[in-house]
This record gives sequence, C-alpha cells and structure tokens, in this order.
Amino acid sequence: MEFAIKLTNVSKHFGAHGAVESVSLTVAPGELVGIVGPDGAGKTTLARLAAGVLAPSGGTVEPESRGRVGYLSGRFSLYPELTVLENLAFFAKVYGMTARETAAETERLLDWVGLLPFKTRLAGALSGGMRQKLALACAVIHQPPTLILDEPTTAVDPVARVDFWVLLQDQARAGRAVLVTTPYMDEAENCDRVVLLHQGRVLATGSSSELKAQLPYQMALLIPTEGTTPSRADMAAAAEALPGRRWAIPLGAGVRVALDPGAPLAAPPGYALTPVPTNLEDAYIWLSGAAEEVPAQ
Amino acid sequence: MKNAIETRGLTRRFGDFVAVDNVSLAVPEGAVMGLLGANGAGKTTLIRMLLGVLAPTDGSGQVLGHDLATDAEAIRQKVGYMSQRFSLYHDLTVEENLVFYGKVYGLKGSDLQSRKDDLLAWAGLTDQRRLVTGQLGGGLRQRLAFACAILHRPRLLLLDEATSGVDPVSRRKFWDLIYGLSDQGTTVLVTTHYMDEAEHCDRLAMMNAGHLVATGTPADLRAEYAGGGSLDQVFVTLAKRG
Repeated sequence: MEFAIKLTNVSKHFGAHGAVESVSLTVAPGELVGIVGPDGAGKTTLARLAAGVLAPSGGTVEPESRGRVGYLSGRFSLYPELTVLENLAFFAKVYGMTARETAAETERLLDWVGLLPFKTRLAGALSGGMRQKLALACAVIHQPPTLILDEPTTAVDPVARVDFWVLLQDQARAGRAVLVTTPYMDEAENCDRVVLLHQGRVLATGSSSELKAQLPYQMALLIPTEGTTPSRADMAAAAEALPGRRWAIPLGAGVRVALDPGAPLAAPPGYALTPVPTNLEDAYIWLSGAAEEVPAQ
Repeated sequence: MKNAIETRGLTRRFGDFVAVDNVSLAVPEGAVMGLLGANGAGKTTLIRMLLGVLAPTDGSGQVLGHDLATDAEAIRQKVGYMSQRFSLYHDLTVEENLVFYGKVYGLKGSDLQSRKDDLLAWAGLTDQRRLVTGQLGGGLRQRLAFACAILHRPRLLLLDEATSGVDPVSRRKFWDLIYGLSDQGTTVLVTTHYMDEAEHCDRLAMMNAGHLVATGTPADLRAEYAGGGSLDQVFVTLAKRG
C-alpha cells in the first residue's frame, strides 16, 4: 500500500526530555486519521514530525513529497487586517499559484467552506469557527495531497466543530491523506482511524469502535431515583458497594461505574443502574493502565 | 434551598446591540452549573454582570445575597475566577504562585501559611511544592490554578473554559475537587464548549443570541431536545433554532 505519511519507530527528544517515543503511524490517501491524546502527550511534536518540519531523533519519516503538505496549526495566523479574499490570495501567492489559478480556486473554496457571503470581511472580524474555516481554505489552496492539522477545533464552539469535521471528511473523500490532532476524545468518532497517544507513546490504533471494544468492562450509570436526594458521599458509597465494581467516578447527578462483564446490574434501594455506552475516555483509562489512579469515590 | 444567583429580566445593551436579553436565572447554593452557548451567545456578558464587573442596563438580580446594581463591590470580594489560560507564573515555584495570589487577596502571616499548606494537600501538590510551575504537566498546573482561584474562600467560583484538555485521569481528579467544593456549599459556574464537560454539571443553562433558551439537568435537556441523544445534539438543536 502506498502511504502519504509513514512514520516508523520515530522518536523525538528535546534535551533529556522525550516528547515522542518509538511511534509508528501511517496515513493513506483518502484516509482521515486522528491523533488523540491529552495536553502534553506529544501531539504537536508528532504533527510537526509528520509534516517534515521537525527532524526526528530516531526512526524514519517518509512523506510522499516534501513541500506538498498543507499544514494548519491551532494558532494559525491569518492576517486579521486583510479580508477573507486577500488572505487566500496571499497564501496562493506564497505557494506560487498564478492569478488565474487563484481566482478559480478561491471561489470554489469559499463556496465549500460557506464563506462566499463574507469574502470582503476582514479576517479579524470573523467568528472563531469561521476563522478556522478560512484557515483550512488557505491550507488547501495549493491542492496538497497531504493535509496535517494540529488542534484545529480547540476553542471552536460545538456547532462550528460539527461543520469543520464535515469539511475534513470532504478532504479525505477527495483523496487527500488527512492527519488531525485533538485533545477531545469524543472527536475521534469523526476519524476513520485513531492513534491514541499517551505520554509520547502510542497506546492503541484503530477505529473508535475497535478501541472502545478493547475495554473489558461494562459501563453503567448509577442515578438516584426521583424524589431522593442522596449526598455525593452516599452515592459514592452506593457505587463502591456494587458487585463487580472496577472503578467509579461522580458524573453530574449520578456516578459512572465500570463493572466486570458478568456482574449483574442490580441497583441498591433508592437508585437505578442503567447500562451506558463505553466512550473512548474509558478505553483510554484502561489502556494507559491508569485505572488504579482514578479516585475511588 | 437558598439561591446563590437569582436574576429577573437581566439585560445588557451595548448601543443598539442587546448582548443579554431578559435573562431570569436561579442557581441554588452549592450547584455546579454549566453555562453553554455558541460564541457571541452572551455568556461572557452575563458572567461579567454576575461577577459584579459590568452593570446591567435593565432587570435586577442578587448574587450571594447582594444586589447586582448597588452592591457589586461586596460580590466581587466573594467570587473566584479561573480561566482557560490558568494565569500562573511559569518561572515561580508552585508554592510561590500560591503565596503571590494569597498576597493579592490580602492574606498574610500564619493565615497565608496555613491556607497555602492546606491547599497544597487538597490539590495533591505537596510533593511538587518546590517545582517550577513551567515544568508541571497540564493536570497539575490546572489543579494549582484551581487552588490559586480559591485561596480567598470564594462562595461563587467561575471556571471559564478551564476544565478541558487535560488527560482523563487528571480530569477526573479535577472534577472530584470541584464536587468537593460544591458539597461544602460553594456554587460553581462552568463555561465550556465541550459537551462531555457539560455532562459533569448538576444543571445546565443554554444561551442563544442573548436569550436563555433552556435550563435543566443534562438528562432533562437530552430527553427534551435530543430524544435522549447526546448533549452535542441538544446544543446543535438549540443553537440552530436561532
């Protein structure tokens, strides 16, 4: 298989500090791959390594062709004092496109990201979500086969985030290899494949549902029945006493519990215990071996 | 139960623009309340009024028993604030950051000393007290910022986009601290764009175009606006309703 991005056993050390340790990952054309992990997991370093802008301390990085990568960082700097059109024209010029190529591509891109009605607006006057859409248009104006985005949805509101992920899926369907980093586990659902990153290492790779299926427990929500108002300490004690309990965390008005797969869903008096779907965060906690550190109550 | 926040028809205009329009909101003491809304929905303006830093154009309200219009100074002394950026000095040690903020809030001597030690233990930072803050991981830094925000024992605490981004285990510890504070009667106001954070709140208030468009527990809102689906669906439904 031909990969647009291929990292093999890549490490990157900054002094004695290892930001990324023996990471292998691939992105094929037409694939949307997410690097998912918390702050400090090494996502940005990995994105920069994949883009070829940072040299690895060890291992190999094989981009298909250097210079044909579109890159968008969370702190991507558009020119706030230029209009939407002017920003696009600027990036087109940087990438060496002719005026004719630029004009044709600009209209198409603005239509695609829904910014056509705002083309004469100053970039500085756009909302956060619109700014990210413009930044995306700027990153793909030279039609790179590979697109790398570092935390493009951080601080973007939920409605704009939904729109933005659709745009990224469009890019993959158009045949581009798309690599995205995000600290938000729930965004993994939007990716074809997820690389779960923890302290610079890959915990697991697979589709979101494959990763969730690795959790050997069943998840359930313990909630007080209507009309009762137990304290959080009461709820914690009730969760603690559940048969087959592996871990429990308070969640809003109830407690989210991980139980052994065969354990009965038997609620103590005054409570209801209902099965809930596993999420990627449950799987992450299990895979990172951190379940023991989860506070007991 | 007493309400920590109670507003009636609270409104704020900027020229012709109505940033917050006729908001009536009640938040019981000790609640963990999530305030949701797209950018520009009016959350920040509402919060600034509730914290006593921006006067309402119309309507009235009490926060912690003080009138918003006439007693804003008393409110300001009883509220704590923590933002997404954490506002810590990276070149100071953990302990020095706490001392700095303690002094800003007017604590001194043995009172400051004991409060600092209590909070280091509470946040699980005693072993890291002499580390330079810039060397801490995201989860520890978040807990330090939290400790700094509650040094002066605020009765109302605002967490502005401050709960997300850290690793799942740190996040759970952080929410444990939040719940602990709420159990002791501190009211906590949380703003977030991330619906799995919103899921941690006792109750939610959703704003759109300056209006309060829905309030309830996460389960209530999911039942009413998403047929039992996700909070993300609730958000999209309410935001697109316009």
